[in-house]
Amino acid sequence: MPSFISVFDDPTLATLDGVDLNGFYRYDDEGVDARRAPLVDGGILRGFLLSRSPTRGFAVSNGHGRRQEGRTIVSRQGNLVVEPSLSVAPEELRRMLRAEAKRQGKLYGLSFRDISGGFTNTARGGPQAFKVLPILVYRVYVDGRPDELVRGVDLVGTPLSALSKIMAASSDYQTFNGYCGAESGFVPVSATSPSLLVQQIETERRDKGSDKPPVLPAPSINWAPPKGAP
Amino acid sequence: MIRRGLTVGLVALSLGAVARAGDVAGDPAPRVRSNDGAVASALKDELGRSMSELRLGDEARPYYLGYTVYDLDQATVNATLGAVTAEHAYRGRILRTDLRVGDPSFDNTNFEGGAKVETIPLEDDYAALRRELWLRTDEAYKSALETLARKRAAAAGQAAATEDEAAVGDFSKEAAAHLEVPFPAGAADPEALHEAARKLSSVLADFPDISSSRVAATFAIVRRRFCSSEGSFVDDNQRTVRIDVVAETQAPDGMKLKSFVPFTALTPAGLPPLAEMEKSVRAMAKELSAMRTAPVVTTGAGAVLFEGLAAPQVVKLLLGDQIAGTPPPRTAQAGSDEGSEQGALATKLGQKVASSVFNAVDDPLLAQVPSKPLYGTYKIDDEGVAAQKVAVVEHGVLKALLMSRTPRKEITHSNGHARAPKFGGPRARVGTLVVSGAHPLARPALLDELGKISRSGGVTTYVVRLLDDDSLPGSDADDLAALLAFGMGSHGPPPVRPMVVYRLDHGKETLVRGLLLENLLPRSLKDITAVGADGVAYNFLEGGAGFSGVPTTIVSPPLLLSDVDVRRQSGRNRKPPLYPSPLARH
Repeated sequence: MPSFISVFDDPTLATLDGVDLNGFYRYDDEGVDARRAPLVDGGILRGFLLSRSPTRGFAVSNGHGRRQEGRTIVSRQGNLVVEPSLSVAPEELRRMLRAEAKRQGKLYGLSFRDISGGFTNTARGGPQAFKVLPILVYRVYVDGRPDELVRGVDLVGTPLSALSKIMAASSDYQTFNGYCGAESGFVPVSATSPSLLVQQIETERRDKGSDKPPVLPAPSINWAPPKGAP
Repeated sequence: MIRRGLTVGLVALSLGAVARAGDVAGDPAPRVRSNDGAVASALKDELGRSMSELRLGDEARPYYLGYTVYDLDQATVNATLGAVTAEHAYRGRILRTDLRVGDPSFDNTNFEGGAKVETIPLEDDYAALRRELWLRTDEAYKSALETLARKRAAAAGQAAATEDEAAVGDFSKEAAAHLEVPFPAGAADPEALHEAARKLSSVLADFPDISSSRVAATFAIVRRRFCSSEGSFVDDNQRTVRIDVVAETQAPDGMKLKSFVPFTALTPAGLPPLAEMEKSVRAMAKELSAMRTAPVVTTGAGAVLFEGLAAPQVVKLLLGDQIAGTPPPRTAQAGSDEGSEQGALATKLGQKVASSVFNAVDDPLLAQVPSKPLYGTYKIDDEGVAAQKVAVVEHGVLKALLMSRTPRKEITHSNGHARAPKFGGPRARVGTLVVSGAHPLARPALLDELGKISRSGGVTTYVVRLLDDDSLPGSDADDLAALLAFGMGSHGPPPVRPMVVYRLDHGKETLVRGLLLENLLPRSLKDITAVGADGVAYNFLEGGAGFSGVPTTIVSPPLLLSDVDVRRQSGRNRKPPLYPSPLARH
């Protein structure tokens, strides 16, 4: 990752900038007190999320052994926070997007504003790849015309290469509260990050399916209850 | 932004509607808005629109459309040793859409693909229901067109049997049905089951030899609204209560033993008095405790008197599951079409299938007697056909089959026995099946008959009072694996495991254990040499538990089967627990 990015996971944060965080807990599911785990410092990978299963070089848990009821414990995310040491105003980030698109000889850059989810395959032997399923995507044109809403774009790529192409971060933070599914089931988590400008990312056209829309129009819903009915 | 705007709009709409309902009634707003008129109107309006306007390009219009809406309301309470272990209340509403294209002689049904069942809004909201009906009908129409095309292609490529099938058709013509039964007030409340579940389960605390036990009590209310393009409209309801008390233990040699008592009624108030139920549970527990040290049977030829619940249980196995006349659906594959859906006796019409003393009638119209509730009574079946009494077996000869609107060569009309589990499609099933004997015998006479068989030599005689029931809550995994292992290596049907068995030696009844009955097949009905006098009713839910199953009743007097293969249970057992039960008093 670029040297201005740091990442940590801190389950002991109940709120961040007034937003309640889903991944807040005091003790993990192995009875270990939760603590802040530094993961990336100045762009360098420094640590992992750890449970009581030791791994080479990391003998002690940092309170991230978690599970859904009835599942086997695995080290998991709590409140993940991306913290840049350098940031720009959101308008400046848009300007940088246009400038970079122009430099690459493209008509537009893409702005992703909401996603429905995604997944990453990190199993050994499998392709180390992710796929993100966006909901709200705009084209931001180099020539300054208004943004255009588009559909059917998925993001694909490999995590390390995508992370290394982060160019800039803005000063506007957003928090995602949700549930993360993995080997030990679904656990409540949060992720907080500023808007990030990525120099290059692969997109994929989503399969649109071949179902026809309904034959009849939606039914009229103007209906009065019969007289005397409650 | 767009999503936020929409959410606010919906909230405002529902608040407005709740306030209005409350104002009119003058009562606090109900938990769920209720308005029967909205449901009936939504069904009729979307049905009318679909029949007159639904058409995709040049494709066929639907020729039949039927909606079934089930309002489901169920309470469940489980308890062990006097303590509630789980409690659950559920309310929901589902829609089954039966849309047909083609014509009654050849349509999209009776082929691959199952019933279309979806969850729809629980509240009586006209707009929300219309929207679901619209979308579900659209899906059902497109899928029906696709299925019909595939079925035509399959039929074109298959030579045999097509003439018969074309002549018989897919959907019989029947009169439209009209029935509106007022829906009684009151919901399925777990509170109504608490006392019975607690008290019946606490009875078992007095039996330290019983290693595990549980009570599962369920009260289900299902309201059915059926509306079809043939003009049928049915609004009726069905209530069922069932309490199963199950107990398990292990003999000192490791053999697992299990017994149960079911109580059934139509409402919690209709259950037998608590003291009476407690007495039955105590008797079951005492018998099961005694079974631990009872002798183990030996393998050999047997004659068995099935009495008590074992009689209707064995009738279900040998007859009830075998007399559905709904033909197996056509398949795209060439080859045999003798599917499992068709009863084993379906091809034996007019033939002798049982001993001449055996009669059976399926009559869904039997009157309810409060002291003897019947699950399997109804006026209109799940295809909107009026229920009929069907004389299935007369003096051992198969006279009729249970029929839905899917005809077969020999019987081209329904007799009102199309019945559907709530999440599946209708097919012919038992309603209330009643067995009787041509020359009923009282118990002493039945025992004399057994004695005679015994004296002729080479046959051991047994009285079986209860069979295992695979719908019981919390079946033991070890137990199931063991049962599967027993069945391995033999070529017949899976063995039937009786739970309560007595061996009859010279008029003396001795409790025994470890018995399996092998090769019990529909043809075993021919081995019935005597039938008792008083019928015992067994109420159960077929094809699913609680609201999802088909309420069914089988009534049978004791039945004497003169030739049954008896096998001693074998296989390895786990050792009994290392320590005695903490409930044991020293």
